[in-house]
Parts: sequence; structure tokens; C-alpha cells
Amino acid sequence: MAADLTRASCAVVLRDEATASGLADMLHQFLAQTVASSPGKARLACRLRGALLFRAAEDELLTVSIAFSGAGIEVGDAPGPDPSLPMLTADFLTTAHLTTGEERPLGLLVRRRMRVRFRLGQALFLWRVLGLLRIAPEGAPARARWRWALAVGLLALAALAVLAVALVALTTDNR
Amino acid sequence: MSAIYSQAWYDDLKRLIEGSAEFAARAPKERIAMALEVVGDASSPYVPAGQERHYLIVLDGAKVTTLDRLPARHDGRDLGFRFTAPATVWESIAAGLLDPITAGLRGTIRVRGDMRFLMKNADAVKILVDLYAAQVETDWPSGKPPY
Repeated sequence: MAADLTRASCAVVLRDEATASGLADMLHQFLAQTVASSPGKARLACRLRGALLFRAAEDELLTVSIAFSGAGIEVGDAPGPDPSLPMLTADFLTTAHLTTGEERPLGLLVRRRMRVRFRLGQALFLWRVLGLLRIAPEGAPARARWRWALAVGLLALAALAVLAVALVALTTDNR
Repeated sequence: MSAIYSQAWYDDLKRLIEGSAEFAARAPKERIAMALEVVGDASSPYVPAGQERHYLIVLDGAKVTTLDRLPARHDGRDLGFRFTAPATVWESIAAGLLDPITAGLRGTIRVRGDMRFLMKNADAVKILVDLYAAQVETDWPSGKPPY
């Protein structure tokens, strides 16, 4: 039996609800509430394709898979680590601090409070999933949009400058 | 020392929560209501199989404004969280034999509610469960876990 907590286009489903671990159940509720809380998060969730494993540091027998199909997200208990999937291991407090932005992933990795295993090709997917899990502080979306706009603007200016320099160099060479 | 499940035991817990400077520093700003559901089982000498005990805890900042036993299951209105577990699990936690966070992750305690709020206030939650688990001196008139 599966539970669907969202009416949004990106449904979040808990596999084998009756026997699901608390970790799977809580991740299911967290993802469903995250997707339901913001159209931006729902869009991001629906664009993701792939799966990852989340393992509880308190009990490493507890591993949960989160699979993004494009149509939705399926959460369920996994039999254990799967070398083909990226895997994140953290305890409850670390996970909370990661989702609230109180701690940055790099800092947690350096201090070995979080362990991540992934292939190079899975890095972007993993990064985007961490972005989805992140709870935006009050008023953050507007600030984030401004930061993005500024970054894109600066990149565009830099690209134009490089193009201009290249054109000038080309013109000079042709003379 | 007060007996498990007695009003005095819950009064002790309330005093511990309100006396914790650590909790006061981390307590959520919002008022939050939680239901604790104790489901009787064959092992517990306090809550036998077929019986249930229901409690309502309301926190307003670092103050415990309500810590009452309810006559029946809370209907869910204005409830932030519902924590449900067998009596033996709650008793094992109170006896310091079981880590409540691990019990929640394994699903022995079922948690229903706003997980985003839970994540945002994880430090406060950890302090609360530690207070419940380790700092209440408990009298066990019908025997102490493990049973």
C-alpha cells in the first residue's frame, strides 16, 4: 500500500506504508510538505531524475531510497547500500542543520558529521536534491532570486567582455 | 521521585523543561501542541494491551502551558504533532534504556506532523527528548523495564 500526501502534480509516495521505518515515514512527510509548500520546490522535484539513498547514522541498518521519476517521488526502505546510487549518511541533528542551512554540506563533510558517497556524474543530481531538501528561511526566495539575477548578470557581462576582447584581438590580427 | 504515569511524574517533567536554560535558548517561538499516545501492550504492567493513555503537551516558547492527561484520543484540531508508541517503548525511554531519536527513526514511535517545523527546531526537540529520557527520576511501583 502506498500513501500519497500531495495533491500537487509532483506526487510524493511512501512505498509499503504499513511496514515503513520511521525514517522513511518522516522523509516522506518532509518531502510531501516541502513540495506542497512551494511551487518552485514542486517544479524542482518534478525536474529531477534519479535516485539516492539516505542512511541514518544512529542506526546504519536504516537506509531509505528516494527515487525521482519526473512524475513524482517515491520514498521507501532500502535493503542496504547500493553501489550504483549516491548515498548520504547523517544523524538526525546533522540532517536538520543541513535542511535549515544552519550548516553547509562542505563543513559537515570536513568535520565528518556527514558522509557522502557518489560518482562524479551524480554530483549535480545530489546537489540539486540537497537544494530541494533545504528549508528556505522567511523572506529568502526574494533574496535568492536577486542573488541569481546578480550572478547571471555578472556572468553575462563577463562573457560579453571576453567576446569583446576576442573580437578586438581578431580584428588586430587581421590587420 | 514520582511514579511513572502519575501526575507528579508529569509535573516533574514540566519543571525540568521550564528549568532548562538550554531549552529556553532553543525553544520554538511559536506555540506548539503535541499529543503523546501510549498504546497498551502485553509487556507493560502499567498500560495493559487494549488500553490507551493520551496526553496533551502545549509549549508556548519555553513554558509548558498544558501537560494533561486526556480522556480520549485528541481529535487533531490545532495539533502540531502526534507521537504514538507502545507503552513498553515509552517506559523504556523513561528508564533510559532506549534512545527516543533512534526509536523514532525505526518507527517504534510514530511521528505525525509538520516535519519542516521539526527540522527547524531539531535542537529543541533533542533537548526535550533527552529531558524525558534521562533526567526524570522515576519510581516503578510495578517493576522497571526491561520486562
